[in-house]
Amino acid sequence: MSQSGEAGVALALVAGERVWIDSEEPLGTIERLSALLELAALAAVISSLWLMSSARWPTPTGLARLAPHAGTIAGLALATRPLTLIVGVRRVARLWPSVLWRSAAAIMLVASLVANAPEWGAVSTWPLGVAFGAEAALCAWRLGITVNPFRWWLSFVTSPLHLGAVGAMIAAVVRLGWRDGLGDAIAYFAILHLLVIIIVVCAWVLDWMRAQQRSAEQDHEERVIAAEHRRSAHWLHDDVSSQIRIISLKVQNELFGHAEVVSLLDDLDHQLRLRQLDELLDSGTPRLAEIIQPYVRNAQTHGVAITAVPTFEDASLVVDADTGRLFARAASIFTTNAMHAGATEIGFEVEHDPDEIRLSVSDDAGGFDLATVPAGRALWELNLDLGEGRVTSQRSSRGTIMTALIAYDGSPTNGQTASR
Amino acid sequence: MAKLLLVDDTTALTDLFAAAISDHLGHDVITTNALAEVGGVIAAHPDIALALVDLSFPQERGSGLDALAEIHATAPRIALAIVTQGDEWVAQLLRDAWELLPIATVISKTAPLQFQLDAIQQVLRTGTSPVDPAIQPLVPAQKSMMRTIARFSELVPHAGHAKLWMALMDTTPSATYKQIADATGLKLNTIKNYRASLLGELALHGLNDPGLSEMRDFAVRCRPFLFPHISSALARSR
Repeated sequence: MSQSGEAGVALALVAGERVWIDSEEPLGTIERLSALLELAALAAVISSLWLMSSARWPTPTGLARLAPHAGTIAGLALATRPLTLIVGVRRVARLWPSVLWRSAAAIMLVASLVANAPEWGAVSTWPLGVAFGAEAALCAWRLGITVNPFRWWLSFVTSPLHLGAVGAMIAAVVRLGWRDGLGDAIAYFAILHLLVIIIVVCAWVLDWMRAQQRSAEQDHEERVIAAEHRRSAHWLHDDVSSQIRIISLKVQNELFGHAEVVSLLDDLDHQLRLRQLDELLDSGTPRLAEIIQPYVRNAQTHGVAITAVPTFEDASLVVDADTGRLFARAASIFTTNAMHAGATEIGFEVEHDPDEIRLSVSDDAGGFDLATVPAGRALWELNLDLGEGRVTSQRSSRGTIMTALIAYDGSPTNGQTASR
Repeated sequence: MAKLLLVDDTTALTDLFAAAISDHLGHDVITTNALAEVGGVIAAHPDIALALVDLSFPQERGSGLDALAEIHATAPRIALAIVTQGDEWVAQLLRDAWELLPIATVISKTAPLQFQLDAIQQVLRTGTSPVDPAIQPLVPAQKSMMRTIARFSELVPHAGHAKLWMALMDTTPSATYKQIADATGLKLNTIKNYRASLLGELALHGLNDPGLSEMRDFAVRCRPFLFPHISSALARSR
């Protein structure tokens, strides 16, 4: 990468991971662990500031007296990012304001440490390096940058920051002479290098842990996918192939006519759609529009006219698998009952508010009394599962309107409308 | 008797459906299974009245949206109809096509044959037909007035944005800033700024504060509408 490219990456790392997050990107265990490590390291830096300050004799005066206060403010400011990451706040930050305030906070923290206990700087370098290293790792993951400790250290060595430090060391020697200037200059120079080495090593270790975790997750996913392939293959053989074989044999033996074959194939098509729906429900984020689709299609295939379907706005609601299954059961039972009762027209309506979904299926098959449903029937069980009074029937001028109220909670997958 | 174009990658189904249309309705049906052939077929048959286009072309780089956009751009008098499975896989494409193009109707591939034939006949007779009820919940009742093909020019104000979109179209689904920076030669913060400058316009396309992955999906999906502006922005910069 070019010098300007490396400068851009350095700037990106200073800006912090919050600038580069994608709101839809899931947060992994190692990411949370890194944020926690960063928080702990910053807490250690702040503690060491107060510890050193209280241990100093004589009591510091002037600017040195303010150092623990200034360092604490800077440390707390830097801690806001990992803290919000741990609690799950995923708001994207702006680049330049982030660069400015984070640089200022980091400089203030380092300056506080130096002013507070110059001779103990190396002690605070360790937690400081860990904090910066954890943040660098988080940022590198967001950006998609490979964490290469040697290359990072080399970039630092050739950076203006390092050249400036070398220049300051030479200036100290020239100004104060070898005896007075060199000792301090070398100490600060070594601390700077130690800090950078801790940062890159910490980032590298976290990156290695993340790679290990990802590899383990990938192995698990591959095993799950393989098991799913075997399940699908078995299902294809057991259900689909045998159904087709039955139809084929019956046609060959002239047991079935054209209409019966079409009817059986339509049934098979419906079974496949229900299976497709099962897969969608298992995905954990089905939309109401997709759940209701096989039942609309099945009614249509059986010659029933569809008089109403939910609007895009109402049917775009994304629900979790359990809510989706309840909704599918209600749609299935209402549609099947209407068709068995001889409906020639069926209408579907869906409404929702923050707490519940209302599914109404209207038909023209005459009246129906919910109280007459014998125990054990699908409708009776649905009523039991949804709760008292949450399945209702209402007579209309031509038939019945069946309504189910399905509660859903505010879990992350619930209550969103589908994105584009 | 009208001339129809049927664009679908499933050869056996296309031939059967074309035969059913010819037998029952008496129309002349031209079929094609490849998106690349659509332009040539349109040029060779200027009297096509209706194009029936599938959305999913998993073996090709594009989608039915490319075919629909090309037909609309070269021969806007041809009525456009979508013939689709209407499942989650194509739901986004369907919405884009519905909102951006004058789609006369959407026919479900699994609807009863007579229902499909009635819809085709109604489009030829009146210019439009109700969307299949099983698919209707997937398309908005009201099209956004702000979301138009012309508006895509606002997503490519200059060559830098053109490079960003090109890189997004070619990258993996889990795009990162580093990958895009490497592909475009732009700095990380420049990419960040370009993305930020497009947020308002992207919101009109239903993308609220999208990440790079979402932008990538949008770029791949809406390539036929973005690409002309990308080409002209890059040409202007040379």
